Amino acid sequence: MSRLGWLAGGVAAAVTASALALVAVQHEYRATFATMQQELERRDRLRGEWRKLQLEQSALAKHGRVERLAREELGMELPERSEIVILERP
Amino acid sequence: MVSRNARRKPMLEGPPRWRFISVLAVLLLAPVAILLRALDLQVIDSEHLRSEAQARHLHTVEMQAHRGVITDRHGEPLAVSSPVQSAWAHPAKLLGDEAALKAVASALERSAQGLRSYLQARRDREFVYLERHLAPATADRLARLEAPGLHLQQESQRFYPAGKVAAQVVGFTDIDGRGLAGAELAFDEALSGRDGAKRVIRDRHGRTVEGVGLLREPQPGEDVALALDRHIQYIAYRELKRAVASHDAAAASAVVLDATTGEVLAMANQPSFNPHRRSELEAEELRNRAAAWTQEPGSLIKPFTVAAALSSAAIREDRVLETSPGTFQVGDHTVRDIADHGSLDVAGVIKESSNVGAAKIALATEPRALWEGLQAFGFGAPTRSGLAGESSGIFLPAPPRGDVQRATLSYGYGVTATPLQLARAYAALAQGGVIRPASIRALEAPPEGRRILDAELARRLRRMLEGVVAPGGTGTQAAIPGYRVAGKTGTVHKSRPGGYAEDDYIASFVGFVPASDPRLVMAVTIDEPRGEEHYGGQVAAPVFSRVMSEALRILNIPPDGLSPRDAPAVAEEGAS
Repeated sequence: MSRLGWLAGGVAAAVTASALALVAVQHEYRATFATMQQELERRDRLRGEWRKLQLEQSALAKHGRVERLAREELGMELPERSEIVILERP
Repeated sequence: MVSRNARRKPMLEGPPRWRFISVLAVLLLAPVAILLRALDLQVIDSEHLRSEAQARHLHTVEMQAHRGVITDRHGEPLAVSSPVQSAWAHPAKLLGDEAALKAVASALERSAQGLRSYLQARRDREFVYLERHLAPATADRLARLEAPGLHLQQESQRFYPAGKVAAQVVGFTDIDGRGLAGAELAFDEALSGRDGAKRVIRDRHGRTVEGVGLLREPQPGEDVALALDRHIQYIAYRELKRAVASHDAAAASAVVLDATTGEVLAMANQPSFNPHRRSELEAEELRNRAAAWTQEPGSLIKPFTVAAALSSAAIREDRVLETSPGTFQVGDHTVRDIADHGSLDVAGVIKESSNVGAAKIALATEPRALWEGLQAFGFGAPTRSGLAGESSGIFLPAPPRGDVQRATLSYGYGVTATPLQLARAYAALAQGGVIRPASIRALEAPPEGRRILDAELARRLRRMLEGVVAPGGTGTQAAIPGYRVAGKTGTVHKSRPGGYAEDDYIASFVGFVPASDPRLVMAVTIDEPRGEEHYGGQVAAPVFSRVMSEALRILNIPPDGLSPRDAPAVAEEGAS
């Protein structure tokens, strides 16, 4: 075959290879993107859960509730001024 | 031969030549036309066609940025977004399935008939919200139905763990997460972040098949730490509520400032509202009275009148003022005291809260010095707290002209200020004469202050204010065992269109503790107390005492006013 023929053949092969590579890369990109999406969703789910836990914690630790529990169930009360002894570090 | 040839020739030649040519032309033209068309589609018109094709399956989807959390100064949540589901429908599709429609209606606790007519009315749309922010159980039920045309969409809902306690300060958002009031509005930009966008392929049912590209990464909103201390906030709210109930008052507000930095540690209001149930919201409850409600400061302004007089050397501290017989005629206006206080020195005027004494001090002061002295404490100026909807109050635009105006100004009539402004002005006294902006956000370093009063003079004024709380003063109920307290009571007649109301009062108290080295400033204002008691010293001072004594305990601030009897016992054991 002539040199020109070889060249044309080579270019054609390169073009085909590049086209296939493009498809492969595109596919890989989409697959990676999908994975990232899943991870992002997981992050959002975890964030949602974290916030729910924060809310739950703050509902349980509400001052009104803690005060009621301390006073009614545990029988605690604020000490009178006369019951407090103040110590000074020498 | 010739004739035979001539006869056979047409047979050998076959069909006429024109026919051959035209067939050939058609056969050649067809591929050319196809080629041209292909060229047209592929090269010339390709952009248009590609976008058309993509519009049919490629969609740009907005990615909601997470709204930041609002916390108090210790990171305790005050406003948190949590994911919830919202239901939407493609009306035509859902209407097509009668059984599914009924099931959806029952899950949403709506009548099937009502839902049908709702969808019928919006038949030509492709997206209609059925219900937003569903309860988790309802969302689960709907998801299991798999009704045609019914979709669930994730959104976020704002929760306010502090609820009523800090409702006006924290504020709230609309259903789409945009700040509408309070800190949610003031810091909306930082909190909301920036929505992102991604490109996805959808099938013909509108379901996302796969994501194909990220156009813009969503930028989550920042968390905002307010200066509030949730614990002190709760105590301020609780005590305010109790005071409003026991004095049958119309409204009340309280502000606690960190004296050294100007940070707002608590800002409570009555009446308040539940931020999760806003359908029953009333405008009065929504107002952040502590920052938006202006009142005449009344006697609360007297320390600043005295500061202006002393710093301009108009009078000396030991000057004795005659306040008998408890009234004093200035032009056609009579200045009145509650009782005849006799002869008072300057500290006595503050301690007894004598209007006559204050008026005499003001009349001895040059008008411009008085006006500038009061203005320096921030009257008529915003506190730069960063709150939305803050009011600046009204102050005279120019030095008072007449004696009457000068006299009434001296005991706080004819000017207005918010509780926040008053707290800030007292913080300036507490800080030895340096005024700082108030801040609703937690600060890392105290902001630059401005000296407006000599430090020594500020110290002497603090001593006078301690006299108010000492036995014989008007504010004895503000006292806290073990601590030195300084403050001032105020009781004003409420101004109404057409004059002052005879029986409507505003009772207030502003003070700071510990007086030897002030750490906390608190302003309490009770609007229209309706009981036997209506003076600031009777109604507002006890609230100050109760809130401050708990706040001092929470913040571990050591007592500075122990009587010798409870002086500290020196720890001997384990001492090194």
